[in-house]
Amino acid sequence: MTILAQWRNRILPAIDTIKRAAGSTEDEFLRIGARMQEFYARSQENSGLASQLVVLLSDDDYHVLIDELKRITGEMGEYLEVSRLQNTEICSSLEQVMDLLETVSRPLAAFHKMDKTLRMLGISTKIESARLGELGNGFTTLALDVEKLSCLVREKTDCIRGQRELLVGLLVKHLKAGKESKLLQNEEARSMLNSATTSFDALVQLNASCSDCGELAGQVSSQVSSAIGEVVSSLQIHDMMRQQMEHVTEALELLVIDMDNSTATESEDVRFAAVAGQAGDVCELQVAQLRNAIEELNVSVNTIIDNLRAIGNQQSLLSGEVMNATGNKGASGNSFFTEFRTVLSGLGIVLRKCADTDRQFFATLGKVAGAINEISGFVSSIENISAEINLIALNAQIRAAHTGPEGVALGVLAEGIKSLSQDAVPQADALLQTLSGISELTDALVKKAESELTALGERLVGMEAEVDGIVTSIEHMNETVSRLLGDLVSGVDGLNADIAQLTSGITVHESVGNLARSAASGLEEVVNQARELVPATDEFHRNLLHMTASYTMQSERRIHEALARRHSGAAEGSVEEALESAESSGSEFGDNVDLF
Amino acid sequence: MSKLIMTADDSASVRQMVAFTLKQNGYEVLEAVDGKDALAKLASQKVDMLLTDLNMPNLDGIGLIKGVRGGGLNRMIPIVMLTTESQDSRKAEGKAAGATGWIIKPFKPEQLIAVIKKVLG
Repeated sequence: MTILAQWRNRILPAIDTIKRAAGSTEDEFLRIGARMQEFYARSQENSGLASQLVVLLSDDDYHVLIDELKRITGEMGEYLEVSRLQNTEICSSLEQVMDLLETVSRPLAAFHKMDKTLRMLGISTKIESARLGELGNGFTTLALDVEKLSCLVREKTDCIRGQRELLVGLLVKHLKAGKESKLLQNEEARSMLNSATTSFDALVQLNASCSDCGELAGQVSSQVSSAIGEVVSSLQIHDMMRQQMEHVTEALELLVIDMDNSTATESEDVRFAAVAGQAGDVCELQVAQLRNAIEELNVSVNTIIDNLRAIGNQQSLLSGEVMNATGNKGASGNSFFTEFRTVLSGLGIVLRKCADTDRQFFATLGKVAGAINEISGFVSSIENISAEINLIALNAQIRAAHTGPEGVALGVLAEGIKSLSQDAVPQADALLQTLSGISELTDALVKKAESELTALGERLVGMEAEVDGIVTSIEHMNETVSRLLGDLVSGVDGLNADIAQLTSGITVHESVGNLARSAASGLEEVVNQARELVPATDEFHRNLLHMTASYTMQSERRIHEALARRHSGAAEGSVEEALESAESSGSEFGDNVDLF
Repeated sequence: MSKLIMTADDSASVRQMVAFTLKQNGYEVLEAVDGKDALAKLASQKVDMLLTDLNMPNLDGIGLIKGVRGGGLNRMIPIVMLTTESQDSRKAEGKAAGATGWIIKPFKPEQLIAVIKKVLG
């Protein structure tokens, strides 16, 4: 087999391989292009969700909500202060009532003494009546009356004492429990109000963070557009590489035709040298074109992969920043909105507890007032008894006078009874005065507390309604934020997974590179053999001038020129350097645009 | 109402990228796989602009421009070549045939849109 036939047998498979490589990229690039469009649309959707979140947390409604929250928590603080002051006042008044009830014990002791004296007088009257015999018959009735009065005084005094003890017990119990619960409620409420203040700071911080996220969303959107631009640009390499490879195969096919038409043999120096030189030149040039095509394809595909991944990374960055800004741990995680709602609800509960405590104090006041009225009734009864004692004493004095000298002792007893009735009056008056003081105090307090409690109650109801409205707004906002975040996270995660799947599966540059390198390797063997037989000359450019007409791309021409310069010795420099040099002048739209 | 732009290119992936870029910017797109296909479609469809490759089977870009400029619904529309060809002689040929502008592939989306906006006024 001749050397030309051997070369032919290397070039023809190389042509087939290059054609196969050139024809194998279209479907893959179309598939990547279609996925890129899908990714872009999805990244736009994700950016849209991020923007919606940012707008939601930084627009007017959000500011209105913050202002409302500040106002309502301020009102809650005021409510607590008013309630605290009112409670202090009621406690102070109830303590005064307790002090006054303490003074009731003195007249009660006097009544107790009166009871004992009456009983003694009754017994003495009975004894004296018995001593007088028939003369003392009328005094038996007197003794029974005195005894009856004694029982009445004891009964009423016991009632008053019982009522007083009940009242004191009630007051001690309510004052202690009320003060303790009020203290706890105030501490709890203050703590929650502090939490609310902290939450306000978080709300304001959220607002600032969301503004930052808004800027980031704009930057990410711009970076995604830029990355998509790079991908769009790089995806066009398929067309350029195909053309470059078509030009290579055309040149090689022409070489094969020339070799087939040549009748030169190795022994014929001049004619064979021309064919071998042409084969060396053509194959060397096509190897350079092929290697450039592979390199360009590699660079472009890596640009596509890098930019698609960058889109995913940018989306993750945005999603992460939005999550951080909103304080969310994820679609199902609690946000500070939830915490704030808990704080507000807790505040509402504490306020209701405060109101309950206030109402209990009010009820206690009512009970005190009722008990005082009842005691006053007993005291009036004692006053009536005092008047009755006076009448009985008068009757006894008259009977004693009728009895004559025998009735002197009974006269003394009657005098004693009369003296008791006179003593009972100031004691009853003192008791009534004390009770009247308590009654006035409690009545005034009840009246005042009633109006204040009514006002506070109405205010509480109003605040509760407003808090309900705000909590509903917060819940609505929280639901929207959670939904948007959930959509954003799943959108970004899904997009990243799909980008990772696509980019890890892009092998077109490797498969085409392997084919092209295999073809180039076969052609290089031809080049080496040809150069051994006929070294390269400075005739390269002239010999292959016809080939330049088939080039469409500037890169092809530069490779051609670089090789020509290398062989002519006119200038040193690699093909790569040649490609990097000589940029065109271009227009306002770029180096590659001319408008006529 | 959005403008209708025809892209004529034998490379499906290039048509895909052109169509994507145009649609993203609010243009409607009509595709043709070569010069002959483009001429056939343009005979009955009024478009606002034509973007065409130079080297295409059946009828190349220069032939297409001549065909469009020769008469019909679209003879006055802007025509921009979108090609890998960068030789001045070919540009001159295109200009002589009636091309409005020349963009060498690969194009960047913002660049293509800027040119379209310019030529569409």
